[in-house]
Amino acid sequence: MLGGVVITETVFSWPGIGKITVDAIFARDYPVVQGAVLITATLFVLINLMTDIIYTLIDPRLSVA
Amino acid sequence: MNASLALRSRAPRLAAMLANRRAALGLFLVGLAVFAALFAPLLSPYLPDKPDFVAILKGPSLAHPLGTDDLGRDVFTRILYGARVSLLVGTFSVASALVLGAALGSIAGYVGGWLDSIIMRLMDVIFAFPSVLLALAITAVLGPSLTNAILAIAVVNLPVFARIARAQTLVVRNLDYVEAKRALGFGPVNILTRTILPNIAAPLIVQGSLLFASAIITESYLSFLGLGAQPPTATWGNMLRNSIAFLDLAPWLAWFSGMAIFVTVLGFNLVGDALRDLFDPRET
Repeated sequence: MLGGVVITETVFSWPGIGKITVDAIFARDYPVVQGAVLITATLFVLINLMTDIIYTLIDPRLSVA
Repeated sequence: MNASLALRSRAPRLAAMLANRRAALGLFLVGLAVFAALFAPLLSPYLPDKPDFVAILKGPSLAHPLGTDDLGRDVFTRILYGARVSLLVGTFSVASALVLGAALGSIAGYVGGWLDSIIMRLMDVIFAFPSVLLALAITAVLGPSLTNAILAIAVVNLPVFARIARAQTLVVRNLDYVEAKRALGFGPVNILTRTILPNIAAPLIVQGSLLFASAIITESYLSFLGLGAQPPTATWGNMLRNSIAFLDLAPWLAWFSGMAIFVTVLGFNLVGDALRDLFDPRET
């Protein structure tokens, strides 16, 4: 989903993090590219962690032994 | 011995695949894309990059079955040539990711210890990024071109293959036939390439055919954003991007390039699913 954001925001000109990334790439503004990618990656990891935690809450069989 | 076994069982497998209606459809769609890519110059009288300023943004007609774009280029021709780019990117990115990933993963799984930790943590780092975004960042740094797009997609797919290869190697490495080869004094290189690799190949190939479809989508993403093959090269992604400006005037531009992507990706997904069912009968 977070990858698709880039396309969606470019098509509809929504001022989100995907649009920032693409604009920065074409402006050769590498610090902004790095920052945007890093933030998105962090979000991605955190969301994955949260889903894993919620899984164990819903299904007690999955909890760490 | 393993290779001959696989060869002997190939014919009934193909027959079984064709018996499955969805698999047959998948093979047909993939065949269509390959056919278009191989015989593009024979199938269309036009050149993909040649503008014709008399026929600009014309709708579908007999002369131009899928219409023309804003420079009067024949859309049908461009879609045929676009198939070349998509299949090229799919083939090379998946093949290189598969080879490198299988090598890294099987080494990590077989050797174990600190080497395993280093390789797999590296793969985890790549895995932590959303795939499209990582591909985007890589092409942004390397500069937009077809080669860099292939490279970026290969890097994104690398950890998938490495993980599968490692997991499979862990299963296989302590089996009797590997133990026997070790006892006979064969070195790790020989054991890895001759014994382990053939035995972990099936799930890697299945994953490869599924990732082929996602590689085509990622390539379309990249060239949609202007980071893939550069104009005037026709790719489905940059045709789609180009069509946005003329969505009101000439909606067929978007329809047909989008359809091309959809049909090809559907084909590869169906083939991938069929391969998975064949190699792993437990799941069906």
